[in-house]
Amino acid sequence: MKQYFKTHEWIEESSNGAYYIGISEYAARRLGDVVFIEQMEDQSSFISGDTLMILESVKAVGDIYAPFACEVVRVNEKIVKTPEELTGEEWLLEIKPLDSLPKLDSLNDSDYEAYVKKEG
Amino acid sequence: MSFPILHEFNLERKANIVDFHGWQMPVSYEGIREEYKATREKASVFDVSHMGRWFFSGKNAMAFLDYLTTNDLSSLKDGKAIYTTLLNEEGGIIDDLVIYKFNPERFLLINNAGNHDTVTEWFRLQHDKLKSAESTLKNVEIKDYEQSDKDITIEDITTKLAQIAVQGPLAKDLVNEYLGLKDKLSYFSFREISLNNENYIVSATGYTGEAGYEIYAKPSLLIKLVEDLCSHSELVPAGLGARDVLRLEAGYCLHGNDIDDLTTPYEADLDWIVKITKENFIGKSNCTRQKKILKGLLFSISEKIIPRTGTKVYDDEEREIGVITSGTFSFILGRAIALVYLTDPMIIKSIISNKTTKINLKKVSIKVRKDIFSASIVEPWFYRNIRGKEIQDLEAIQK
Repeated sequence: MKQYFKTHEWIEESSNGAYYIGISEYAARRLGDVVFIEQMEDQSSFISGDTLMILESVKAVGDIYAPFACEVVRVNEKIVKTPEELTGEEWLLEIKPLDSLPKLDSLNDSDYEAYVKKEG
Repeated sequence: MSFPILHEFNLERKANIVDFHGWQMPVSYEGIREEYKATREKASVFDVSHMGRWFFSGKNAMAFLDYLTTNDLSSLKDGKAIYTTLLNEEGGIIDDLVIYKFNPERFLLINNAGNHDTVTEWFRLQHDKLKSAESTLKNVEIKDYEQSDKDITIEDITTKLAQIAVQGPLAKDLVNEYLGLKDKLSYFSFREISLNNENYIVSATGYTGEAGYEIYAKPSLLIKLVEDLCSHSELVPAGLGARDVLRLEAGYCLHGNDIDDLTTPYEADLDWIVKITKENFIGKSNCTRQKKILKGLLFSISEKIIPRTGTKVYDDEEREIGVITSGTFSFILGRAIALVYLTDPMIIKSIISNKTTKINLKKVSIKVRKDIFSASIVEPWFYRNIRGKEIQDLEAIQK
């Protein structure tokens, strides 16, 4: 099940204790047409709050923040090559926590939806 | 809060709506890229009812407008429109306008939505000056001014007469068929049309770099036109997002970004709409000032960057030489483009005197986050420069 953050990322468990991370459909819609996805190629490990990836759209820039200290184990190359197809459903990165997972300030599906509505 | 005429239509289509100078405007419907593509390849419609619209009429309307604005209305033919600027005394651009001449006693003037209050105040101030016995306009050597107080009627018709823009290669055919117009109007021509006892003004103008029309009529007629054409033809609605990419590719300035009341038309590459030989107009003595010069910036196809407003530009010796006022991703070029003001005095001097400068303008750079990206300075007419050419030729343009 997806867990959402107020910064509009979601994570979902993949396998071997790793997580997929993506952005919400709401965020993808707000960002509009993404034209580039930039990866942090010179960085292998990240602390909580670091930028993992940058989504550059025609109108805005969106950063994907690390929800916890992690390393990137896989990149969704398909979406990096065709960023215009980003809808928010697909994962962008697979990340593995560097330490045992801290308690996350995340929201479930319906709480995130309510949060987005309130945010307007 | 104000609503454009297609607001209901926009809600039904689940458009992405944002506040734009107090107007609830659609940024996009199906996506900026699709709407952009439709405009370049077929036809799209933009709700531009948020723009400010005015009628100027009366015996002295032309003299007054010619005094307020930089282009020349007196030599303009009836049935033609012109692009012009409204300047303050310091030569700065209060707003950029399109003015339509029906006859020497009747004009339609269009201003930007974001400047409507400022423009309204300016018209009121200048008209009051004209009426007052203490009028500073007495120094103005334009015939009829002193008797003109009762001979000008200025009417804000923004809510009465709405406006849409239908743009793209198919635009003129679609509108011609709908309105029963037989011939295609030429660029910056317009015509008044009566259909089923209703009046329309159709003009061959726009802000996309494509052929097309802007249509003026009462709101209900334009809503119906858009609904009919969007359900029975290839016309698709497009939002501000696509409009911004289209206008930047065409090299058109956006007031508030690329031009403002501190920028002169000579700085903004708009000297062609200043008739400096005109007897007098507000801002005349200051409008040729050039402390900065507008140019285009073209990035390498491999650079994954979109330069945003305010980004500084450096030469190859890392000296700051300019600032970006608008930037976007050009879909047709597949790379980022931007408008930049060169502010370095040496460079400006060299551009003005047309001599080559020691500074290599072909290799400039910008810094975004920690990275340096290189770009070339070109003329800002990106789309005009490449239309009809193969994309491979771009490298030649860049050299």
